[in-house]
Amino acid sequence: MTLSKPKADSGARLRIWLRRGHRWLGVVLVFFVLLLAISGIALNHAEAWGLDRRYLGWSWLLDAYGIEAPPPSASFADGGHRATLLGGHLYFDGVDIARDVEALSGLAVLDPLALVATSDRAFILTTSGKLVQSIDVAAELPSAVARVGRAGGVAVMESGGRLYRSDPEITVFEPWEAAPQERIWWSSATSPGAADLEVLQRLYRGRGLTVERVLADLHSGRILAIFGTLLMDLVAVCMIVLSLSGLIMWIQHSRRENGIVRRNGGQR
Amino acid sequence: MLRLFILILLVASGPALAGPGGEAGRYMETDDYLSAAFPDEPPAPRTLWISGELREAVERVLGHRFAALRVRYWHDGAKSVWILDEIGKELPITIGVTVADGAIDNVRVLEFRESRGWEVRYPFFTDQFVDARLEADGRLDRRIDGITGATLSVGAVTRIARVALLLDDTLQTKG
Repeated sequence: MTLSKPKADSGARLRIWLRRGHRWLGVVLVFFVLLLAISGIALNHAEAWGLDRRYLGWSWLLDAYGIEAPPPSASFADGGHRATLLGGHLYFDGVDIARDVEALSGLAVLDPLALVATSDRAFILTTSGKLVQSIDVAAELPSAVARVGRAGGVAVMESGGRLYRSDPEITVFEPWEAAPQERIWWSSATSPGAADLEVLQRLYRGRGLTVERVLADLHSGRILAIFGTLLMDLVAVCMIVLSLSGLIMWIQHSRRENGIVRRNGGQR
Repeated sequence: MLRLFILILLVASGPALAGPGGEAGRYMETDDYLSAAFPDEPPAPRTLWISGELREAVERVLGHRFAALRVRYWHDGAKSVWILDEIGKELPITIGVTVADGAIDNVRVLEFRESRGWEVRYPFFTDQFVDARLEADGRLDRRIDGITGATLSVGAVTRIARVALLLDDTLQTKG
């Protein structure tokens, strides 16, 4: 009898510590469990909810991610309009018209239409920036578009040392053998003004960070770099401890309940 | 047993190991596609303006605004070829569709630019469209089986197949 009492006391102390620890751990983890659960559900449905196509434009967040707009690779102006290639994005007067573009060859404005040509594609736009048509010119030209110009109301492109001209609506391009070179105006690269460049760089940065990416980084803790990852590791360990302590307490409670029932001859 | 387990792991992680970019790229040039569709001599390209009821019908099929005001096509007799772009997730997929006598003769993914979903380029997927026609409600007359992990690309190719049939129908109706 004297030997079993300290054992019973230590058991009771363990139960008290377990209960206290479990309670406090539960309170501390509420925030993280909510964060992980909500971000996890959102990530599971990111495509369906369009989170992978929704962009965040907060400057401080873009700065924190180190998302910076590169300088323009090429820029052409004609008739008060400008086409610029910046970080693979092709802009016409501040309208993002294509992505994943490697080289910009030139711009020719034939009001109300404009031709913006990359090395292998011709974008025909209205001067207000609406896409009329995108033509894969690689199929019709011998090599990449070298330069773009206009002459007498039609667009002109040079490819493989030969000239090609469009019809006035820029629907097709055909070889132009006897082109009067002196009548052709060729677009040449110029630098955009500081104000135009600022607008383009803001647009570029604004398409750099999706909601899905931020949610994934919140979920994994990577949003706080290595500290966040370690914090989430700690949270994961705490969750394991919480679940195990809960299980132990439940087993202890069940045993006690069963003991009481046995002592009462089957009566609770 | 361990070897079998490792083999299963390798096969299962194949798409992940392919990494960003995977099998994306230019699979076929437009002129090669046209030459295959018109073995004698590809006709000159023509332009179809997408406006009014046609635009509404196209946008209903796509489920979003159709960016271009006109599209290019190649037409000879009862056969027409359409080279159209549709965004899978973020970047456009360039798809060639040949329509003959109101049914799809051939679908080819000419260029795929995204890092995932390029499996739609394979014949096991594109062959499902052969002989497909448009129902009165604008849907295909058959079920197109999807590909796990390429849901958006499968959707894009299917929509473009429907749009090509719709445009061909407009062309034939116009004469």
